[in-house]
Amino acid sequence: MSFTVVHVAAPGLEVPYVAAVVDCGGTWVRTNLVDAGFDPTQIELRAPVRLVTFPVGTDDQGTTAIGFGFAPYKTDGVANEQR
Amino acid sequence: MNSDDAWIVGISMTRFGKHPDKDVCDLGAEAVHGALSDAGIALSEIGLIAAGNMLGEHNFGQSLQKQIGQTGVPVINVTNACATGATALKTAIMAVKSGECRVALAVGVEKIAGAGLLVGGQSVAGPATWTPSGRHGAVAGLDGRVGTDTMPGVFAQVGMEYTSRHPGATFELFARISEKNHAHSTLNPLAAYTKRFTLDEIMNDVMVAYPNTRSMCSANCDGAAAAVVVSGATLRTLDPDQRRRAVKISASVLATDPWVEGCHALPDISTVTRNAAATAYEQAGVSPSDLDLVELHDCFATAELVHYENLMLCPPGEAVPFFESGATWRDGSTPVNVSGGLESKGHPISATGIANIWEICHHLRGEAADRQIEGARVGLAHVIGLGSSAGIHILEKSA
Repeated sequence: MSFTVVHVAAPGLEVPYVAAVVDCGGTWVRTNLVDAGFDPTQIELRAPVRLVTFPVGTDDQGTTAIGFGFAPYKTDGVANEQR
Repeated sequence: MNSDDAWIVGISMTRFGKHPDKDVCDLGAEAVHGALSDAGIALSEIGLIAAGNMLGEHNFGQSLQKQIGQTGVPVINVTNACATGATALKTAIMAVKSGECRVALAVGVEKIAGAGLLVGGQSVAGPATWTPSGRHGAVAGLDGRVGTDTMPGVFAQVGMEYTSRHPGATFELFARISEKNHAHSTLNPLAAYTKRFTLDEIMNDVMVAYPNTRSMCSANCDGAAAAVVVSGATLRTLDPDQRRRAVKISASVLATDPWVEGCHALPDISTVTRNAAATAYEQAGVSPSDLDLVELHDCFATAELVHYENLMLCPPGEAVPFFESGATWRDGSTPVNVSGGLESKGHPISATGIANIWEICHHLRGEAADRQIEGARVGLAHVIGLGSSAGIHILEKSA
């Protein structure tokens, strides 16, 4: 549905990152768009995406936190989600 | 002049910008003294004070009284995000309309010059060891990991959602809206920024959250604004000169989000604004085509475009051609943000919803000097506070 490439964010957050709102069959989901690059002219509105997980960070005990995001859906398959 | 009418008889704003040598009470007192002087009304006649301040100490209104005078009248402290100023004004209007008092004062002040990101600006550095907490056992906040909390990012997505339905809403078009507002502010001596920017300068400025560059974001600054409101019955008792400069409040509307299917993964600033606008036009008995000028909540350039439709200044789906026609420039058919708007005049949060009223009143009174919209008789002022609240006031020149 929508996205933005955030360049200015809180200290400690890696920028840029792509924030997006994804339409999951009528339910809008707030998310990050991953593996899509950071060039807004190369990110297509309403293109299909797929759910992925990605590491958010690792603490001093070596534990990695996992978050969810959506990535461009690059095959010819059918996908319901659209960004 | 029905007894349940409400009128603005005095209004004032400080210069917006950096005021390092003044605190919120200094700025508030300057605006209040200006409004009382403009009204020709003494503080002793004020029967109620509605005071707005978001980011300072609690009970700002009582602190302000210690500077302007402790008259013992009720003080209502209001906060409503970016709609705080409009909410203070509406509170004063309700007070005089209900007969609670004859004369009420609304004041809004903020000191945020150089504040940076107001939401999503705090460091995300957590404990060195992930510790699940809260109802979801999260080890970290959402901001930047599951979407963005930053205001430039949220409103960028509002604009891009419009773009997804109307591809004509490009980065360049959003930048042109900012170009307009910065050009308008060159005529406003009270604006935080009065420099005209070229389209190239705006598009090549620091990118904050695509498509909003720095100059397309509202300017954090210090400022205050205040208004004196009276009932129609009280107005009849005032001098002819006070009556001549009085501005009629034809509509005063505050709306919140209605129930909708689904959730607000992205704040819906459109439905709440449309609902408030529909109520305001009905209350005032005016149509969008009657408006001589509009001050709308351009907290980001992306927001201004969607509000052209939300305020029904153009038909649904036609915001892009409406803007491209030049309609919203100061010499267009529906001048929008001739003050410079939040992007250039500035956005000291709680002052904004009274300062936009000040701008409209100035034109309706024929006192806007170099930036006067000739023959202005009807104006609309709009704000939105995320959460959300939309505040709309429609004002008319005294007959």
